[in-house]
Amino acid sequence: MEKKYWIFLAILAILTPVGIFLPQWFNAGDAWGEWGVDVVKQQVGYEPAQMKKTADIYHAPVPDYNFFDEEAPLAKQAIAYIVSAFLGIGIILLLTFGLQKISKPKNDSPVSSTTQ
Amino acid sequence: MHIPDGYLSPQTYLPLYGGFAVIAAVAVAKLKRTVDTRLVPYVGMAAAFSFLIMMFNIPIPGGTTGHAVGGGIIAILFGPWVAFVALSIALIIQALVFGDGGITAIGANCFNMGFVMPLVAWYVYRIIAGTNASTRRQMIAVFVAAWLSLNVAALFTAVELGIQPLVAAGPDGNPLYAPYPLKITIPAMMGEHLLLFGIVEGLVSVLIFRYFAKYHPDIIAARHK
Repeated sequence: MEKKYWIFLAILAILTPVGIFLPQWFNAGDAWGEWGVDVVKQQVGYEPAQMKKTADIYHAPVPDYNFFDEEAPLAKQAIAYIVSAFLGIGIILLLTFGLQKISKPKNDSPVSSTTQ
Repeated sequence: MHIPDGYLSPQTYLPLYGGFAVIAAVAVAKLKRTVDTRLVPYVGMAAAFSFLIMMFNIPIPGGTTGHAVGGGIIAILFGPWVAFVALSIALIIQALVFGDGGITAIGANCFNMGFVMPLVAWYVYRIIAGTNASTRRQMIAVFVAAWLSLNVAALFTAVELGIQPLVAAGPDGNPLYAPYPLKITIPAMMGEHLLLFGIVEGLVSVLIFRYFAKYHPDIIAARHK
């Protein structure tokens, strides 16, 4: 089952750009409540005093699953999106592999530990 | 539903971090004690699935976007603790590597999507499907559990955002963080999740469930014990 499942995930990863094309075609923006501070300012007429400070607290290495410019052509963004998908899966695999190592009991069978 | 940095005040995100830490400790203990180590590979598979499914943004024409999360179906198939660990891994990577969800909001986002959602789905599924349901009834249970669980998670998110003007305002009375009151956050979040994103979550979950019912009935049978 495992091999088939990872193939399924790889296909999903290749299809992820659908998630940037569809919003583009239907002229849809960010998720509700996930806007940048400038958009919030436009909406309510002022910049909440602590918002900007906290919003800039951390800069992710691959912001918005895109390592090109925000204004890069859609095709480039799509490639970045796919690479991000595989990067995400890769990190998850590494992490869970580590988790597996930690959670595995050192002596699987009590018999072998007593006979040695 | 990924709350960014700057939206939640410390008096909101710190308790949620605390809650997340407690739940994480319980989850790790539970998984170590009760769950077969053979379930661990499923954590990785489930985390990868959830990570990917969240990249498929669904547009509301001319409006906002949203996405399925997968937290419901993962809980139904592998239990709420596996789902919690899987979702938390996916959400933390999204925040740290891709800036999707804030680092101050990791506790909040893992609580909403990683804990509330799987727990709701798990119980709703068990209530509707019972122990000896027909496949048809199981499918209905999966759909309702997935739809409802995404919506309860959205409601938690809406409340966390909407209480900000109440808990953190400056001397001039203006909110310091997210400026939208509950009467705006709740209708905005719930409308789109009840009518669109929740339906997609339900349909995706039923598809996944059907696959497992057909090819891995042992996994579903284990959940019905």
